[in-house]
Amino acid sequence: MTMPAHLGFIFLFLALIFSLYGLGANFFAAVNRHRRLYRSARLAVTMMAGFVVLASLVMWLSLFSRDYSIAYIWRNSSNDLPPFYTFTTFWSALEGSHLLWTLLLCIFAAIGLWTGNKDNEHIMPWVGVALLLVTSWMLYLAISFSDPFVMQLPAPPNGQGKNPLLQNPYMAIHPPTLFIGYTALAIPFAYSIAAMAYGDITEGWLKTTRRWTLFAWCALTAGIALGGHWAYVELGWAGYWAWDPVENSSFMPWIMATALLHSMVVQDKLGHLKRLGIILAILAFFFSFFGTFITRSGIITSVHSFADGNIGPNYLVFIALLLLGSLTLFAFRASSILPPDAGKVWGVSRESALIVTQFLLLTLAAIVFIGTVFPIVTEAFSSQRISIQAPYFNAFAPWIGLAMIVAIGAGNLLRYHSGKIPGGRKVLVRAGLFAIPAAALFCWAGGVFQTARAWPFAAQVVGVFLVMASLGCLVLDFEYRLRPFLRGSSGISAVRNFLGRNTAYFGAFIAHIGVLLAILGFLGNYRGVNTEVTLRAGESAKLYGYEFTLGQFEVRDQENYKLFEAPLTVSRDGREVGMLFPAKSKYPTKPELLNEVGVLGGFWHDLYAVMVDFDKAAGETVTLQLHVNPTVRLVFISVVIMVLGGFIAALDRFRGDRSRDVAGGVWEQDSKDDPSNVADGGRA
Amino acid sequence: MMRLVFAFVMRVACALVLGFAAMDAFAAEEQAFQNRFKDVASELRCPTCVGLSVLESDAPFSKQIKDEVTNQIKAGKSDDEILAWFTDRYGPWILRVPPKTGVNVLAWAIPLVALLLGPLALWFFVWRHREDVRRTDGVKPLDELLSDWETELDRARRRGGIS
Repeated sequence: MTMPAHLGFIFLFLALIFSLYGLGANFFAAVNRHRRLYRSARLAVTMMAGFVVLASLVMWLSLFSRDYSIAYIWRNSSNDLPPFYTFTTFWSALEGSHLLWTLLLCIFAAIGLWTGNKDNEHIMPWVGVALLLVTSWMLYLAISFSDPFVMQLPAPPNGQGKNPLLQNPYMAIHPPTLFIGYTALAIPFAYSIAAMAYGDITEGWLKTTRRWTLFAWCALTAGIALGGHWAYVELGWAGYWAWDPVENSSFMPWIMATALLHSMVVQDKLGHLKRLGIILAILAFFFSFFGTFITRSGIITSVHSFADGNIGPNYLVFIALLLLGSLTLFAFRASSILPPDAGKVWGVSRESALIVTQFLLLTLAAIVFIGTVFPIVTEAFSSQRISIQAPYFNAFAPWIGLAMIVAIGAGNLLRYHSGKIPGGRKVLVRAGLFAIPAAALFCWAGGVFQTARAWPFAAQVVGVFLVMASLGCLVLDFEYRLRPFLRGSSGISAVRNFLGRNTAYFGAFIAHIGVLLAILGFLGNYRGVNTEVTLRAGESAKLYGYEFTLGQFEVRDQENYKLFEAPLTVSRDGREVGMLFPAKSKYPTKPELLNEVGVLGGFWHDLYAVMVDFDKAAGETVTLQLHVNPTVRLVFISVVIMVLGGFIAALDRFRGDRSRDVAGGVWEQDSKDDPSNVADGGRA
Repeated sequence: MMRLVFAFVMRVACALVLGFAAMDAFAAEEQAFQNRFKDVASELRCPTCVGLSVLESDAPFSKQIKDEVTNQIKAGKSDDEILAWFTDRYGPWILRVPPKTGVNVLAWAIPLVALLLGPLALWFFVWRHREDVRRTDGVKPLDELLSDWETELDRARRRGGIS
């Protein structure tokens, strides 16, 4: 039975060999401009990805054959685990999720090298160097400190069981989604390194990096939301975002990717902000590694537990080298990235609005970073322990959010190179007029007036009004742009024509609407109400106009756990609106009881019930926490809209051809004997 | 200070808007207690969780802290006194935000400085460095055009296209 473990290890080892060969070959191909060597390196990358896929298949097969001779499988699964969760055990602990990272990174590296734009061909060896530096180090860790195939002999008959908190559909797909985002950011990073190493940004550069960044951004957005949804339905504290270090560490790359997308817009239209884009791409990738470092080194719980492990210090050294190396390269080579011919025209214009966006996003990132890292730093240097939690972030983030609403509205109205807003005053007045009844309606229907305290109430009314006004601006601007297309052609073909030519704009339009709706949803957090009650069967409790009646307490056997369930019938004004099933679950492999939250979702608010405790002797009384959580559904809907917008924008085909201040380079080594060598040598 | 004034004004406005019906004295007192309890409990961290306040948590340790908060409010202590009592016992770690003393001032000052000075810097770089489009109507003066061509040539030379 020890065969699979050896096989998996060997596959990873071979992948590392290919990665190292590819690294060297790419480097020499880049320095000597040797095309055939680059092709060989690209094949090596493919082999590397292939071997990591094989190693991963070995892991999955061993998981399903319950091969407990592999320590990872023994620690994280058990015989009674359902097939779906057996599959996801692949990434449910440290070594496995490292393997998933490596797998995705290697696959994206191969895809990135094979799908490189023709315009980029001469910088591809450098792209390969940057990617393979990262994969080599990941593979090195995968066979040393984070080896998923470490053996456990003799094989025990049953495993220790999977963490029950992870046995939830959202948590099962949350890590791979997030990891896809993290690893996809490797491509913009590698292109940035390549641009600096080669000495200029090439023609297709923007096209490729923009599409990868959008892809990563969509995955990150979806991944973060899935994590939030998991926390909401599984942890039972009635919220989806607590600003805890793990969440923050996934948020920082997201902010950086968002900032990168916005700097790319300026780069695309005007050719400016190229260097900022490079810095942001580096930081985005750095922060995805920084996030994994934070989460898996154990440094959050204590600096001291971190120092005992091997993987933590290794990660620290790597991310420090990653950042230092990239920034050193930037310091020496940034001067080769030249500004465009067009002069700067800032003032009041869309490019200035995008600069303001950068400022807001980067400030937010800085605050999140300080809030995450500050306690670690002070503990390391002064032995004094402090906490930085949600109130700290909530002291700053709402102000940035408010400014962002305005920036989204105003920025989308403004045009490049011009302080004039087309149809300006009319649009602003109409948006303002629309916002008054819309905000009032929202406040009335959403129960904003019942917010108990003055300060949050004011923040909400102002926030709701601004969101509505911004939505008005976006929609009116959309209408303004569409109008010329409607002249002289029928409705549907005009819209199709418009969308075909403005796919990127339309994607951004949808995504911005998503962001505004998300902010509208976040505002609901100011006005939740809750209560704690102890009930017997048949008794009821009242909250926010709802009546919750407790039914018969039940103990039910599920596939691999026991459920203690207290069904609640919810009614309003004597009419039944639905059932809630708050419960506790008990897994045989784990000692503690876990919350299974009962949620009854609506557009305006969710009803949310947590079983705090129950009478374990007779099962007669149940203590429940009942929450009314406003606009949670809106937040998750808005995330779907944002991701949709991102995907639409990625479909755009007209992007990426404005940055052409450079002619392509020449392959020198084999130009004579290779007829396909036409890499733009003739243009200059 | 501004925030307090604004909060006060909003409170008055709010009372007008809502037209609060006169609540009976008991309910008002209970409400006031609940508000204070939530204020204090949401400023103390749950010692055994990640990222949660004792208010949001039902861990045994959090329950003890919440009971203690209830007792101290009923004993007539002010919010600050209660927080100070917990800080003495468990260190500043028990507070969900760092105290604004010593090194910890940095955690508060950096975001504040960034948020306040950032717009100034933006104004300086973006607004001050603007070019008036109308002045030149997008047409560059000759010397600027010449220097542009010069750079273009340099670039092409560097690339090896022109020798």
